[in-house]
Formats: sequence, C-alpha cells, structure tokens
Amino acid sequence: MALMTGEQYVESLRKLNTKVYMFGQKIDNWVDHPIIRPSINCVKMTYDLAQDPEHEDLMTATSSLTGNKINRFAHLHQSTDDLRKKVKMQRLLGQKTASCFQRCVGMDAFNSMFSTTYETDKAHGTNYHERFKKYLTYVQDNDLTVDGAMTDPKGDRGKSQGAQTDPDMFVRIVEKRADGIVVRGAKAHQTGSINSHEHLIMPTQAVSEEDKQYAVAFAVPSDAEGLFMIYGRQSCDTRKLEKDADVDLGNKEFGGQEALVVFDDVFVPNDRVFMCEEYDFAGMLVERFAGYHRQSYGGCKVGVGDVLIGAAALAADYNGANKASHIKDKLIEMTHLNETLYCCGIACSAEGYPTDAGNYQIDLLLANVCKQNVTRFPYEIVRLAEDIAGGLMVTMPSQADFRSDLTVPTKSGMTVGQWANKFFVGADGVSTENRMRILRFIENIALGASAVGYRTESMHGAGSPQAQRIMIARQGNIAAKKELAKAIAGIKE
Amino acid sequence: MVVGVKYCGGCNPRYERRSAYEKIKSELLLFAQKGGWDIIFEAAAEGVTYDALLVVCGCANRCAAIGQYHSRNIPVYLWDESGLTDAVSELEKLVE
Ligand SMILES: Cc1cc2nc3c(=O)[nH]c(=O)nc-3n(C[C@H](O)[C@H](O)[C@H](O)COP(=O)(O)OP(=O)(O)OC[C@H]3O[C@@H](n4cnc5c(N)ncnc54)[C@H](O)[C@@H]3O)c2cc1C
Repeated sequence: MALMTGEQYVESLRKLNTKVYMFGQKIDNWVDHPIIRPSINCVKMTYDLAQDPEHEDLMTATSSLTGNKINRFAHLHQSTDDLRKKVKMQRLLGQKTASCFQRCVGMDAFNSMFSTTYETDKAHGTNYHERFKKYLTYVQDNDLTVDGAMTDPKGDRGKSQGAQTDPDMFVRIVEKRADGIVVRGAKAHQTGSINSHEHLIMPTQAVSEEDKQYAVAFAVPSDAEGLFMIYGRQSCDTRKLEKDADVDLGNKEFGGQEALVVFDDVFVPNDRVFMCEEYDFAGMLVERFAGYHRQSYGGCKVGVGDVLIGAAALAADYNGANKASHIKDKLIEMTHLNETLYCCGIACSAEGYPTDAGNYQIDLLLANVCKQNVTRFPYEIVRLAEDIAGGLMVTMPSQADFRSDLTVPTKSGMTVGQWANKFFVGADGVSTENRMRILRFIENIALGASAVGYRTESMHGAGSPQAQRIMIARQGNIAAKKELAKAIAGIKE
Repeated sequence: MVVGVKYCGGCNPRYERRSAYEKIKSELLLFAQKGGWDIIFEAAAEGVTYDALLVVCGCANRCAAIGQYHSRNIPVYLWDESGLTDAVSELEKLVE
C-alpha cells in the first residue's frame, strides 16, 4: 500500500486491539467515542490532504529508502527544502484543524532515530541503523501513524532515573533475552498515542553508566501485549457527550489527544530494538528529537494561530467593533507575533545541515529560539483574541438555551430561546448563532479542550521553557560576542 | 494541448488559488474553442509528458516541486492574482 485514504486510516484503527481506559472504564469502541473521535479526525486530515492535488506537494515526499511516494510524516528530510516543507505542512494542518494533529512526534522521532542509530553503530559496532531502516520502510510502505514517545513520568525531578523510590518512573529494560528485551515503565502526555498504529520509544533525558538500563529505544505495535493507555481528560471534554453537541464545542470536528501509555513488561523482539544500554547516545537522541520538535511548533501553532486571528477578526465584525483602530492594531499585533513564530520555524529549517547518516537536522540554536517564543506568543495572541471577543465568550448561555422553546411565564410570553437571541444579538445583519459560534471557538482555544494544544502544549511540549534556555546558553557563544565587543571598543587584553 | 496542473502545498496562500486557476482554465477553454483547438487541463502526474505545465503557487516563494514532471515547454507559474493575465497569455501562445 502506498498512501492510505483518510477512511482507510480510520478503518485500520478498528483492526487494532488497542487497550484504552477513560473515566475508570475500559473503552472498547474508542474509534467512535465522542470524546476521542475529534482527535482521530485530526490525524485523518493528514491522510486526506495527502490525496488532494492542492496540498499533496507539502503532504507527500519521495522516500529516500524506497523511491516511493510516501506521506511526508514518514519522510527522512533530505534537504533544507524538506525541512521547510515540513514546517509549511504543519502550518497547513493547523489551519485545517485548529488543533494538534498529532502525527509530527513520529516524524521527529524517525529523523532523530535514523541519525542517532547510525552514529551509535559507528561507535559500538551494533546494527541498529539497518534495523531502523527496515522498520521505517515498513512504516512508510504501510503509511502508518507512529507515536514518538519520549517523556517519562519522572517521579521526583530532583533525582536521576536510578535514584527514584519507584524504579518504574522511567522506562527501562527489566530483562534481556536472546531474542529481545522486556521493558517496564510508562510514557506520560503521549500525543495521539491511541490514534497511532505504532509506538517508537526514546529515553527522556541523558543517561549515566550506572543507570544504563534506562538507555533504551524501541518500537512496538500500539496493541502489544502488556501495553495499555489511560486517556488524559481535557477542559470541557464532557461537553462532547451532550445531546446534539455543536455550538458549545467551538470546534465540533477536531481536537487533540494525550494519554498515559503503560508498559507492564512488554516484550520487544531484537529487530525492533534501536538502543540497548548505549547510554552515551541517549543524550544525542534526546537533543535531536527535541530540536526537530521545537522546529515543529513554528509550523503547527502558527496554523492554529491563523484560525484564531480569523476568529478574532470575525468576532469584531459580529460585535460591530471592526472599525475601531485599536481592534485593527490588535489584529496586526496578533499577525506579527504569529508570523514571527513562522519565521523561526523557517529559519531553523533553512539553516539545517546533513547528519553523518545523510538526513537533515535543523539548526539547534534557532530551533530552541523558535520554541522559546512559542512558550510566550500564543498566550499573547490568545489574550488579544479574548480582548477582542468580549466577555460573552465565557458567560453566554448554552446552545440548548438559544434553541429552547420553553415559554418564560412573564408578560412578554417569549421563550428562553427568544430571550437569549434578543439580548445576544450583535451587529445588524449578523445571526446570533454565528456570533455564538465564533465566540465558542475562541473559548475552546483559550480555555476549552483546544487550550491543551494551543496553550499548555506550547509551554511544555518539546520541553519546558528552561530546557530551551539551557540549549540557547550552550549554543549562544557569549565568548565570541565578548571578542566582537572588545574589537569594536578597542580593548586589547 | 494537454496542460498538467500542479499546485504548491498551500500553507499560506496570499490569494484564492483554486478560483484563480478556474479563471485561467475558463479563459483558455474559450480561447481554444474560438480557434478550433483542443485543450485539456489535468492534475500533473509523473511519467506523462505535457505540452505545458501550469504551476499554481500561493506566494512568490513558489516552493512547489516540479522536477518530477515532464513538459515540452518551460513551466508557466502563477503566484499572485496580478499574474493571471500573463499566465493566460503565455498559455495562449502555447496553444497557438
Ligand atoms: C499537551 C502536551 C503534549 C505533549 N506531547 C508529548 C508527546 O507526544 N510525546 C512526549 O514524549 N512528550 C509529550 N509532552 C511532554 C512534554 O515534553 C513535557 O511536558 C515537558 O518535557 C515537561 O515535562 P513535565 O510535564 O513532566 O514537567 P516538569 O518536568 O515537571 O516541569 C515543571 C517545571 O519544573 C521544572 N523542572 C523540572 N525538572 C527540573 C529539574 N531537574 N531542575 C530544575 N527544574 C526542573 C521545569 O523547568 C518546569 O518549569 C507533551 C506535553 C504536553 C503538555
């Protein structure tokens, strides 16, 4: 199979025996569950757009492994042009879903694993790179979605892996057999894990020699024996369970997904093991994955920002405030911030370079600057959207009230719906429902289910702000800057 | 004449690419009808040799990859609405 259609993707999920728990229950038909389905629709979009002539230029690529046409999400970047197209693809998908479309963690894991296994083999005489190429060919040929899983629960942040009271706070090897390894632990916050066919596991942080059982990277099918997931709940998630839920959701069709993925002694055959105690390469894998993922946010969050800016502009139109100069200026500011993020995503791509293995890596300093800005600008963009929207985005009655034909026993004899529609009308000629729709959309991104992706993921996804500052400090070369200043100021010492 | 049509990915188009393309297409169809020529527009595919390649890009960066397509003539690019007339006349010259 070359490229799956969106429908084929959804059907392929049904064939998996993925074990999902939510609200204390096992969810058997998770594909059609109203809380989960919007996140599946997002991943489906990555398949649908690859079939669309208007978008396939970004959505597809030619495989460096097989020469076949593949989905870009399974591609090894072959040039800085590929790196830029990745960012553009992510912006496009953000625009189409206004949510996290989940498939980039896998792409970032493929690229970092490809180059790290190559260098590990050179140092250790192992054969992980060939194994990984075989695995990635399987992923590309079957157009699979893969969860790139890095973050461990981590327990006490002040302690290393081996010093934790509970040794399972980081994924580790508990048994080595002739035919493979047995792993135990969990990965937290896993974006799109349930919607993925496969999981590609990496360590969270550098590993020292005494903790080498934590230096492990491998791939498993999402329905592997011993693996299960506990769904992460999102703000306002149960609105999706309400009858005829529509306006109140803000974004009925799309949404993100995170889950805790537990490995309760999962067996991994040798051909799917890509790091096994080579602790000296754990740091490289983490740094490369984080670099790619920090680049990613210069695309996906920008696409969501595009929709949010459009929504704020519509809210101003519907409120009748669109001609005010400060509103126009706020829209300019939102656009400026959003495009600044895009500039960072494009810049770290344009300055990318080939690794020893041949695929392209982003510029690490610029990617970290990109993500550092992402920890701030979406918050400012959403603050401005809330300013423009007005308080009604959080105080308006429900869709059921607007549609209610229950008569209120007062003099006018009007229904609840008539009252709500009367008092929440905006500019002349604008339907109250459309006004409510756009305000709910902003609410959803500002503090509803999509705030997970637009706000907190912008803060912590691909590493908390301090993680970027450490990288910026390392790469910033202050010593060279001091020499520049000395030269200009005429200081000789 | 067979024209292969290739879009860029459309991450941040500065104009409506589809309607601009539809405009070009309808003008060319009219032009060909008047002159008694045949003109066919189809989504560009690899392995086909086209008489012309129309590359519809959303911005001046024109990042659409076209190396994989074959055309007997140099590709005609569109990247903003003001270029529509030029694109039409370039294609008209090729039809003739
Ligand atoms: C919506 C969302 C989606 C995500 N998706 C994925 C995914 O798909 N795959 C994946 O692998 N991960 C994913 N993550 C995880 C993300 O990478 C982590 O949230 C991030 O690395 C921060 O880890 P944490 O959440 O455990 O916070 P913590 O590490 O607990 O950080 C909290 C604060 O404590 C500080 N801190 C922590 N440890 C130390 C220390 N030792 N010294 C000093 N300060 C410290 C941090 O700087 C921060 O300020 C996602 C996260 C979110 C929120």
